[in-house]
Amino acid sequence: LLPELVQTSDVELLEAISKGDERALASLYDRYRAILFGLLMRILNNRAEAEDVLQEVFIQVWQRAANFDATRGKPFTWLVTLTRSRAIDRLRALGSRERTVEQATREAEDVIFDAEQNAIESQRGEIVRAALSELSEEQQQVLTLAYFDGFSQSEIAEKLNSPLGTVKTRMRTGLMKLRDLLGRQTQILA
Amino acid sequence: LKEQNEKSEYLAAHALDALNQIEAQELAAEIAEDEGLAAELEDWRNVLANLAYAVPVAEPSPSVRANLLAAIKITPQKQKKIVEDANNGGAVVERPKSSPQPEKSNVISFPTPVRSTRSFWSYAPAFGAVAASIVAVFLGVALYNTSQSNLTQIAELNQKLVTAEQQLNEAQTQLMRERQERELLGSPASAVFSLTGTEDVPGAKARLVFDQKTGKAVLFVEGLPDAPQGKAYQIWWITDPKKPAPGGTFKTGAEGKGELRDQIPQQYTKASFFAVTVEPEGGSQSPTGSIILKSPV
Repeated sequence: LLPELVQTSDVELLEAISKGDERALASLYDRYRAILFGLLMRILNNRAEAEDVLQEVFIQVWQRAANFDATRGKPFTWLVTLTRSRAIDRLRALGSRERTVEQATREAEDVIFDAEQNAIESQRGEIVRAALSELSEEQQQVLTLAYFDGFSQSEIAEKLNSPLGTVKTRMRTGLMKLRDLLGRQTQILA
Repeated sequence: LKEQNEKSEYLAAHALDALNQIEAQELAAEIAEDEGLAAELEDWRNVLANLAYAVPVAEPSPSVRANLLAAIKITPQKQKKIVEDANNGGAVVERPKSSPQPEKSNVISFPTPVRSTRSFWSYAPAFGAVAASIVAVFLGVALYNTSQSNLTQIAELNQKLVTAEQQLNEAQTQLMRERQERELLGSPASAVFSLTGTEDVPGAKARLVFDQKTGKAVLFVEGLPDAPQGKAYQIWWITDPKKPAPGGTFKTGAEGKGELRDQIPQQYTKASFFAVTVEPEGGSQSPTGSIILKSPV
């Protein structure tokens, strides 16, 4: 890759992609493949499926880059939201949510709290994991079931045999606490 | 969804896609007409995107990049358009800059009437203005009701658009997958193994194709009844019979057919013995169930 592409901002890369610049897409892929693939592996727990979805996500980025509006959101958020959404769709299509949840539950402790990467991402990982650890176990549980396993509030209530109101409260308070905790680290997480 | 606090709570759950379908549709219609709500939803998505940092990073196979770059050469890009995509991040929620903006004010101004020298006609503009104001109020109410209905329809149409796009992407992925399988079969490094059913399922058979360089593997299974409740089939890569390496799990459909795409760990790409066992869903680290398919020793 040319050095100028490595230094280019995400927004500039998306602008270039929208104009058909294939090198820009390659650069964006190189920048985020590892973190997005980690997320896909966490959700799908299947390497081949995760690779399929990763490819699908970047094809969609290629197709829809022209519709990305930097005044309305961040490229990283868009990529993660798109990736998670496609992964949950795939999980449902495979009908393998139960399996993944069982596995996720079994491995939750060491999967979520065991990241490694380069210095910056490692630092970001530490901040997010530290913030997550500040939440109660119940709050972590509902957020994990919703975010990584794609369950709705009603499904979580049924799964945990808890009242729907309780699940909503845990989700709301957990998210607000997470927002507060992460909000103090915006410079590092930006 | 009336109160602001309640809306904020719903937005947080919506960012997690944790609302039920009706709640999500209702909220999407409100977001479509309220930029403040759209911005707040994006804030929640920014918070949640950070959760991606909490999981271990992983490295995809180099072939993904190569396939992606090959795929975009034949994939047309879409032009800028109106997209209200609740599932794909608010950043793509946009309207063309040239499109007319909805009227934000309820006040409709009229040109100042020119007074006539005749006494009756001197009041005519005032009557006209009052009449016009009444008509405007009625029109405003009617337009408001219509716009509410239109917003719901837009939200529904956009949902259909998103679904259609997803189906298109899935079809493209399927095509890509088939092409990759053809490439796998045609690769000079590909190896093909036949697996036959043991005495438990004598009619079952399978074909395993994998690339010894990249480790990409596909298993095609036939004649294998669906796994028992709570169980799945799991493949094992075997170089040392005492230490079989766990592969992926799969299930079979009504016709006894199944398919598994998996990645063989590099140290097992020279394996020449493979077996399939019945394991708990989610798989095992070492075999616990009986062998139901195996390759010749």
